[in-house]
Amino acid sequence: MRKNLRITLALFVMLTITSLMFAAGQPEKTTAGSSVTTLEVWSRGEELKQFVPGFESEHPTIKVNVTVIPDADMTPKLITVIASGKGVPDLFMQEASYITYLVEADLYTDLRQAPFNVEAYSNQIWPATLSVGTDSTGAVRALTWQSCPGSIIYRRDIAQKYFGTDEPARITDQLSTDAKFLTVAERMKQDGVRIVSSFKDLFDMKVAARTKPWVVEGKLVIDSALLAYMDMAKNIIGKGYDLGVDQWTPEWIAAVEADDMFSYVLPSWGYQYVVKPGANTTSGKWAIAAPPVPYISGGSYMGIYKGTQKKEAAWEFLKYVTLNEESQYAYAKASGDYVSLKAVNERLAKEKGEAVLGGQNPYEIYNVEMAGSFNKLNTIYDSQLNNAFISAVKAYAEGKSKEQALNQFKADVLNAFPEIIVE
Amino acid sequence: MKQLTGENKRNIWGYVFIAPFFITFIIFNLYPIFYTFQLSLQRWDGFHQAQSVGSANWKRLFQDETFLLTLCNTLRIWLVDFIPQLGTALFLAMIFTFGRIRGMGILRAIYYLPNLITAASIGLLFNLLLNGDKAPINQLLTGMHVPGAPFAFFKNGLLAQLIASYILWWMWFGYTTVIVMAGVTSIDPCLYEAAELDGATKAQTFLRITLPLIRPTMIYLTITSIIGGMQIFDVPSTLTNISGDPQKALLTSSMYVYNQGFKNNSFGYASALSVALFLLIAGFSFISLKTLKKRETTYQ
Amino acid sequence: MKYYISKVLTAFLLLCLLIISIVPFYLVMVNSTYDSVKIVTQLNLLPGLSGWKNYKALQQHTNIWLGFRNSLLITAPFVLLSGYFGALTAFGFAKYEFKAKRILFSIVLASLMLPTQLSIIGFYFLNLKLGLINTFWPFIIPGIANASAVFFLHGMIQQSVPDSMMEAARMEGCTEFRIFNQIVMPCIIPGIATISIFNFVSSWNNYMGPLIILSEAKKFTMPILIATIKGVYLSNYGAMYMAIFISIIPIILIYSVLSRYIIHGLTIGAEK
Repeated sequence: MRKNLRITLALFVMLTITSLMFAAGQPEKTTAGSSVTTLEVWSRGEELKQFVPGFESEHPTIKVNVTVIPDADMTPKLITVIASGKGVPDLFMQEASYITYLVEADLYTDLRQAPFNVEAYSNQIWPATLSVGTDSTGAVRALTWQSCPGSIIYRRDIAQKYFGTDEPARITDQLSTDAKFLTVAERMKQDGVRIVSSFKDLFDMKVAARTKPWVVEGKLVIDSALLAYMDMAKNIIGKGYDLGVDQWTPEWIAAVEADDMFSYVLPSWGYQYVVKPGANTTSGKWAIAAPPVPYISGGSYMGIYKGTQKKEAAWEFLKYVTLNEESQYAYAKASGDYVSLKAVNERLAKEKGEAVLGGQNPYEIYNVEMAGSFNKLNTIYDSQLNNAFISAVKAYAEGKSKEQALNQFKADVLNAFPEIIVE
Repeated sequence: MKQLTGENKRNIWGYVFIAPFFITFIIFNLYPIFYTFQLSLQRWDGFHQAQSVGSANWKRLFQDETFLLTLCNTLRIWLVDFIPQLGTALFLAMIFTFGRIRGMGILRAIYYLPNLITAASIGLLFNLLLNGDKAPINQLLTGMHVPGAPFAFFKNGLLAQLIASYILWWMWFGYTTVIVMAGVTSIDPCLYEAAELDGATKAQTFLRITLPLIRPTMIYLTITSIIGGMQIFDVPSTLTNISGDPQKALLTSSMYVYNQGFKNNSFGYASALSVALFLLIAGFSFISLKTLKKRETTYQ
Repeated sequence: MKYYISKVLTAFLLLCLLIISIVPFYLVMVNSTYDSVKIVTQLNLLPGLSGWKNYKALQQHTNIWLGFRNSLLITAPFVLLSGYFGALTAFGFAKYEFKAKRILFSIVLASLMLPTQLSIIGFYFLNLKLGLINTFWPFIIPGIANASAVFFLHGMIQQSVPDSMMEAARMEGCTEFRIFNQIVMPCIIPGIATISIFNFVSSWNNYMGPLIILSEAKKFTMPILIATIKGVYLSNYGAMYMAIFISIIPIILIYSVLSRYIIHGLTIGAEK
């Protein structure tokens, strides 16, 4: 028994010594004299790494070091590092609903200036995508390689049964108003089929259907589109038209293979990352239709830190990822993602369709949608207000009166952002 | 000038022995504490310059109903966890001391296991098992034709809190048992013999002799549990993806602080909340200590 | 008859607790051998066949063994330091009388009460000034000032180290320090073992601290790597459970070694 303890103790001491050796720090890779610049990039997912080999082969004097940070912790990490001024990465990324705060906080370089001159490229990018990374003064701060147009990803066989057709345009038409949607939902429910995966799917669509953003001149604005959504959601939740789980839960993801769910109403990443990987027995039975109201939601945006010393190198990488047709094309071919450059998407629309979609080419549908017009509605409060509103919607669906739910929402808003004026 | 007696000289060693602790403490812990206190008097969003706002954060705190709600949630979840935890530990301690159970050592070792796993991993597992109509547990219950299945475990605030309390109980009852037993086994067996001679039953022995004598252990357990309990974060946040739904039933005070800081970018206010929480924990612990100690003296 | 019933009832309750304790562990183990899709759709009770596949997927994302090594390099020294210095400090408080003893002890206690979520920012600034960012030191050195070890061992020393033994040693001319090392420490080995397991687990599972302080991916610890596996879009639950499973193994190993000490030490007390 004592021997065991001695062994464990010895092990621990050994590890301490090893740790000391490591903690003493590895010898710094001396860059004195060498002309290799290393870029530090903080990414929220693995996708960015796909661009690195191609980039480094085209730019042998620049090395890119991508560190993946867990999504929820990107902001805390950024805050500590920026507040201290040391160790800030040259480029960092954030999700579309959070990026507005960073973009407005004057942390990213304005890319309109020389030597970036991003405006030369402006018309190559879908305007809606570009506007998310643009701040309220018109400065372009963040770019992306993705665009995320919304869509109805539906099952052809179920569509045939209820509409007599599985053509995308007809599906859009059949679901084009709340009333029509609910009627269809009821019909499907009679047979135990849920029309949509989650009431939350529709939220992004309704958010884009607003005419005013959440906060106008410091005052909270609850657009009528959202009030209508509350009733819609109450119906969906109350009558069991959806799966009854949150998005991104295992059951929600697994519903790709289910036979009792009609559609996911999600942006292009929904097809890419939920339906396509999950469709085994249901491959070939899916299709994509345009939503009644065009919208974009999601995606990762990246910009150059204002205080970086490696502006030119950082710009080269950013350009390669977000403005280079060849590299985006290669990325799209490998991942199937919908990208931000118009020309690349148009080229991809002419290629073969997807097996999972029964031969349909998703790029065709998305291209048409992205060419439409979108209101610029994002504010720095969006992610929190969206979440608070969903909570209120749930409360309403579970029995509170609309007024109570809205009051709860207003209280949450004031709690989070006391500077907003709420009536 | 007081004479340095042998005893006094020796007592200086006390200072020597605690010195490493306090030096390290001053270097590593003091600065973050002062920083938080200072931040509670400022307004800072993490990216722009901090501005001094005096007691504005504190005024806001006293009117904050959500904070009160989170305190109630935290208290409820903690109590429903702590009382069964202590009960189970005492029950097990009683059995292990007085009963003749084979494999006692192994059992105790296994009961400790739940303490070893991350709260986050367990939260994840339970979320997986219980969230949704087709979740594995619901499938099981539906298959067994349990009335009311499938249950919407996470739609009901009370049920969700119960699950959180259960998970915490699961994680800590083994640890509590070990600590209680550490106290119990240090009791002089002569006392038990004397009690047996006097004709006391096992239960009486337990209540009148064991319990009072392990009071220091109970004090330790209660205080550390209060301190830990008021800071519950990992379990409720992984169960609900930091949203604290349903209806904020699972929003604990620590989660609230975290959200105010890292989601709403109100670091000044979040710091004030932190300080308030600290004062509450300290106050609560102090009261518990006084109450428990008072009972101790009446026994001696 | 009554005796029999209570015996059976007791055995039944103990068995229930046993099952309750083990089942989640078992589920984690089993789930790590299944495909992501199967994990989410059914209750898996028997081990599956996708274990190796999950492991490979895991290794593609991140090198989990690197995270393992990093976690170990932080946790082992931390446990050593907190055990030794915790005992030393507790000894100082328990067996010596000096001015300001009460206040200082209250400070030790109070330091446990600070919610840690926000102090992380101040902690970062501090370590920046000390030049310790992106190293493991910020997690090792504080082991010297581990308040929960002090609190726990304080009670234990008061209970198990008789003054008479110490007096005897002093008679023989031992210095105070030697008394600590050669008499006190051996007496409280069960206590140190107990608090060591506890500290091992808390250091091993420490997430927020290393996340904020470490900026190089190759220094990330296990909890961070497990979080990155979760991914932005789809979660590979199989890989995640495999990672969790791998991360539990050393804890269980250390635990099985140390637990014999606790039990041994605890029962010695009874036989005394």
